[in-house]
Amino acid sequence: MDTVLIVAILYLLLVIAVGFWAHRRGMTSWGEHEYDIGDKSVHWFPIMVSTFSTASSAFVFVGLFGMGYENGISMMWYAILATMVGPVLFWVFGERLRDMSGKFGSYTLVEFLNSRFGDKKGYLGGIGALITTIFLFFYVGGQIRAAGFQFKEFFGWPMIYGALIMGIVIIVYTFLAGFRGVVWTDTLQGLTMVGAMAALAIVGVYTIGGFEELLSQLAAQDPALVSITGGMPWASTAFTIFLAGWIASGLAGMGNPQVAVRPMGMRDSTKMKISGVTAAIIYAPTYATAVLAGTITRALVPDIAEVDAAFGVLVGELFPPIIAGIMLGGLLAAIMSTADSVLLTSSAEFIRNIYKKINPDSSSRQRLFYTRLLVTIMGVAAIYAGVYWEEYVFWFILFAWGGLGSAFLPVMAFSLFWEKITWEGAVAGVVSGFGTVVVWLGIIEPIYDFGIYEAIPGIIVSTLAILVVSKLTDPPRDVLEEIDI
Amino acid sequence: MYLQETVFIVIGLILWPLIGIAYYLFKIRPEREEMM
Repeated sequence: MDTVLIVAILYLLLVIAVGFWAHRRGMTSWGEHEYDIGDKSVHWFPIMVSTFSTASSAFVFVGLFGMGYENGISMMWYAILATMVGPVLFWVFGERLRDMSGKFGSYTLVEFLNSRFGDKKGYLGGIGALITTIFLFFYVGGQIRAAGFQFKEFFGWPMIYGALIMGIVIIVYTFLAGFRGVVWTDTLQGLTMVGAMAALAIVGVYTIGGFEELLSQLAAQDPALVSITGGMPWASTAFTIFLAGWIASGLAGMGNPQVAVRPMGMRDSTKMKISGVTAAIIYAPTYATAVLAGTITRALVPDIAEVDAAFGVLVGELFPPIIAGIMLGGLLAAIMSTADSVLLTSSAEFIRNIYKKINPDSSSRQRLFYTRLLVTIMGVAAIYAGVYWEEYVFWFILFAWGGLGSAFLPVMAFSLFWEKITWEGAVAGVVSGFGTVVVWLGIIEPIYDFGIYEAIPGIIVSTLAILVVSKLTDPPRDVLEEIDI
Repeated sequence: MYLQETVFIVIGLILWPLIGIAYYLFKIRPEREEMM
């Protein structure tokens, strides 16, 4: 166990070193913009890799792994459908998102929406930033909790130790390095994740003795584990809802502000399409291998008490301590790369859309100071929330992905591609998309138990609200023509 | 035995990389050549 710990800590130190390096590189033009989005001058490769590592989070190692473990190969549908996040974000939305936000001079998704509708009072930005900050705060708490849990599983430590270590590392380098640092550390983390997952899947299949053997061992436990449809008939409502849920999950991902902000930081918009290709080739298979590795764990160790620990169990089963340490590093990488981006995005959204409106004369130096202060305060609070507010953290995370996606994806899409969307339509879209998810998860599902993923009604209602309200309200002054797009 | 299931897993693993390669070959490369 000691070797595992030492290797994992060395890995953490490496990450901090990369954060410092990026910090030094950014020193020449250090300012608020540099901190939030690297002054739109970061190379496309780190932007692409960090988009994926931000979108993946502990979910790949804990959630998806566990889903593969519990449900078997039908979870491969997740890898086929929900992984559209990266490629589609870059191919469909990336270029326009970058060009338009560049012309408006906006640095975050919510700020972009606010300028897109010429909202001088900043209501849209205010609502958007408030939703984003609250939900992403709990999201950070959830990531830190996942870290604490894994340390508990690997080393038998109390939750708070692992949460403190990870929380402090995340705060320190988010504080120092800003967007540029976060992107570069995320790149390192992203590559570690890909390597870790590929190694697990390949060694795992080899250890078991091939696909044939894997599948027959799974079938011996439960035939549903090897069913492509998870035991549902092909032409059934249940299976259709199952597939639609994963599509909605992928769509919702693109609307999450910490993911959507990524293409905005890209220097060269012609590289956008190449980024999508790279995302499809490198990252999509990581999701698939996570599912596969989950099923391998099921075949090798059928009786794990806590599904969330499946990753640690498989690593312990397959690898010597040094490799296991790197694997743990990969998992920590996934957690950190999400938590840092989320922490940075939510702080930046709050300062840019709320503080800047309350105090418009503030200098960019002051705003940088407050962004960093907020990163620190939220980070410390998130450590506490992650360890001691278990119930709230789970509840908020449940709402976060679908809720933020439903609030922002339709508005973002229409803002980029439909001239006739109005300010009122946009506000209606954000509020109704978000509200639908809350009502659906909080009230409708507990009563009727449809088993429908909440982003499906969320995205549909938000889209309808935008269309109907925009039709009913006055056409906007032609912002798009003004900026010549 | 398990032919369909194996094919399904392999598709899951390689589908997006294939889409990525196809996008490059049929969309990005022709656009670049046109620009030349």
